[in-house]
Amino acid sequence: MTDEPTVFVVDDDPSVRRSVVRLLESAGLRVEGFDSGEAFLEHRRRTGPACVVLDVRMSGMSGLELQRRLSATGRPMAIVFITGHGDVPMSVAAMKGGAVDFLLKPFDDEALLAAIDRAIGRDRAWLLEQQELAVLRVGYDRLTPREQQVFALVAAGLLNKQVAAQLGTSEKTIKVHRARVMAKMEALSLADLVRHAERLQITARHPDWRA
Amino acid sequence: MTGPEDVEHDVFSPPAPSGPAARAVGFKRLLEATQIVQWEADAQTRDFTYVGSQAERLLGYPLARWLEPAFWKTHLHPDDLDRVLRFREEALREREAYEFEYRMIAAGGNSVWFHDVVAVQRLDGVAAVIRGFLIDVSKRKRAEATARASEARVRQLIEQAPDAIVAARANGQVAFVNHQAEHLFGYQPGALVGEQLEQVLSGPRVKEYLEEPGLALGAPSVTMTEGTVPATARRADGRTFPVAVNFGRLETDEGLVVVTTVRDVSHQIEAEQALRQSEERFRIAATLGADIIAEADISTGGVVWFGNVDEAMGFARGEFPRTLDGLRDRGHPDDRGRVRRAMSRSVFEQGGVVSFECRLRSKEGLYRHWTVRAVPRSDSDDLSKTFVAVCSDVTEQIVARAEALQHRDALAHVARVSSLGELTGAVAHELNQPLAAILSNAQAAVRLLDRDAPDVRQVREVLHDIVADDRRASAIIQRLREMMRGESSSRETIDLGAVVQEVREIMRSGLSMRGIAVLSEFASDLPPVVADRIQIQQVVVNLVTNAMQAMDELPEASLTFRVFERDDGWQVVTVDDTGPGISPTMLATMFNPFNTSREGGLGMGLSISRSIVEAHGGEMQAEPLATGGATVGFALPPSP
Repeated sequence: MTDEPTVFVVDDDPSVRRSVVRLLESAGLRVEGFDSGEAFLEHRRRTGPACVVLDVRMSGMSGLELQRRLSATGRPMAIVFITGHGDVPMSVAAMKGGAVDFLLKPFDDEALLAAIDRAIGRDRAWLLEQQELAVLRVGYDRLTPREQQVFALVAAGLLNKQVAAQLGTSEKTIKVHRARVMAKMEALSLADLVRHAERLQITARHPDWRA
Repeated sequence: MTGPEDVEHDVFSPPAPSGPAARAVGFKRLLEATQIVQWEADAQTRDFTYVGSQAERLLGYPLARWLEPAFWKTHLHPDDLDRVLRFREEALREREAYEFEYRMIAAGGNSVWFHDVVAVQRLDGVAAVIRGFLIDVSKRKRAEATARASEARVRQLIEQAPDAIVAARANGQVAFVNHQAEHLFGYQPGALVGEQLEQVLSGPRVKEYLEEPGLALGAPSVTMTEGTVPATARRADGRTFPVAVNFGRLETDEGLVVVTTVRDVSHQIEAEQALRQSEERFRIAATLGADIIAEADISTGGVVWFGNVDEAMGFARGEFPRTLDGLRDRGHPDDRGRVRRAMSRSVFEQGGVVSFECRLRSKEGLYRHWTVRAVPRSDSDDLSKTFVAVCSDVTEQIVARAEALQHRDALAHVARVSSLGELTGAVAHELNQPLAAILSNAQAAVRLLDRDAPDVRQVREVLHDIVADDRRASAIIQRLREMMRGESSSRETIDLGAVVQEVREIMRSGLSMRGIAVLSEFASDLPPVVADRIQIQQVVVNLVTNAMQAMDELPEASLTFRVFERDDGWQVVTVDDTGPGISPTMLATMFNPFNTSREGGLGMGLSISRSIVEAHGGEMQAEPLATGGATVGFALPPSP
């Protein structure tokens, strides 16, 4: 994994595409241009931090559609929308879809570069998050089924004796499980453990909810 | 048989100055002086034994012939023979005296009417001698016959008369009527006879006539009153109606008869009232200036105006020309030939209504537009010399028409601008593309130049792109300006395919933004057509806008531009969409103004399009496609 970011420029207007690619290159960025959303999706991309400068209106797949498709993949990407004429519903849809910015053509190079900067930053953060999550998953996979149960119940806010009652064992046994969970999940505190559970999207049913 | 002289002597004794003999001689002479013929006959043989000498004169036969056997019988008129013989045989048996009338054939072949007065002398109850007087009554008989024939003629005349006629006696009783009268008064045939005339006719003069029967004339005749008098008629059902009556006197052998001719004038009166009302209305209409009527006499050149032509043309009363020459002077020079041709056409094509438009100069020198409908007067002779013309001042309408045309142009402009308003996004996008490229390129160039070792070749490349994008932006603005211009129609030779392609380029981004695929099928080598390029582009823009709206929110949308030549040489432009298609109701009204299926839409697009296309002599067309969607377009006729 290289740390050098890549900017993908997707615009069906060749002159716009060429000028934007040229501008970003002149700013020292690594740039790849695509004339359609379809071409972009088919492209095998490198794994490093990246963002997309995306035209909203394109023949074929529109920018908004590409945004939806990307977020459905395992590699959502920070998007900077560019458009010749934007209206409120269009920009709302774009931002709701997680766009970093929505720039009206013609845009200033500084504005575009700043947006790209933010987008790359966001992508870096996302990548870091994915890395941390991968570590957590490795730890979680090392837990025994019993430890996973204890993890879920503790993260749900139950006291040791409540967990013990829930699982039909002694409070002392729970304490042992809990310590192993903390160690395997590399949690320094209960708060840390709860955060890990949230990121792993681990939930446990509260006993009161049991039917 | 004895001669007449003997008979004479036997019957009448020799004359004597006084006494019975002398009296007999005196009577004999008296008789001979009259037209009365005395005779004596044998009652058994019925032959004359004595005839007065006047007999010779009456029938033209000598006396000796009268005394021949069966003279009387053989000289009776054949039509009277049976009747007369039967009557005499009966009278001879039963009566002492009798009289009857019959005709005898004279020597000249003519018949003579006799009144015969007979006395019968009997011996032992059997008729032995008959004596009598023959009196010539031909004159009276002829008068009677004439009278009868006259009455029959009058009755026939009355029956055949077109008018209803009622004949009444002096006492007011109806003597006879014709069937027209029975029909007019609503009576069954014969039902009116015997009724009082006053029952069906009333009025001052009617009574007067009945009360003054007038003089009885010697011969049967009809004398009529001069002129008619009004009266009131009453039908059998009690309904009354106005009539005009004539009275006449008919002298008949039955006495004086008042002949009343009755004419139903209710229709006439209604017609007169209608005519009066119509004249009044016409006068009011003419006064109000709705129309002006002129009666022009071609031969004298005089014109009579009805209606206020002076005021209409800004003149003082009576000042507007009253002659054809004067009118010609006030007419527009360009109209003169046309008006003259129209009028002469009407003269030679008899009875035809001719209508034309012309311009006449008003007092203040402005031309006012008139439509004139003229017709030769129907009551004039073969060569119509008089025309009646209805003239309408249509200046206001013509001005309004011109304004409407301008208004249509303005509307088209509004629609164009509003369509462009709808298209602002697309156009702005289109324009912002090159602007974005220019800005990015320029800023990239700055960055390239800022480098320690600027790549001049690369910078030149960038500058070339900037110039190209600038031209592109300029071209877009030029097209935009042309479409925004509210100018009037200007025809030029255009390539329809190229025109549609330009629209496609303008609309391309708008279509792609909506995810609409654009397809094109352009026939090659089409001949040019004469049309207003901008208006035709406007129509195509409207078609595309409609197609786009029809396909809003559809996942699979495509739009096909087609330009092709029809078999009849017309060139057709269609825009096909994959939208919901066109319903039959929509098909009927889709080209009407203010018809829109879109909320907030003006509904002017297709209406304006139709106006434009029809102004080009073309036609709009629309139909649903079998594959779903619709094809909407227009066809233009080939250039002449």
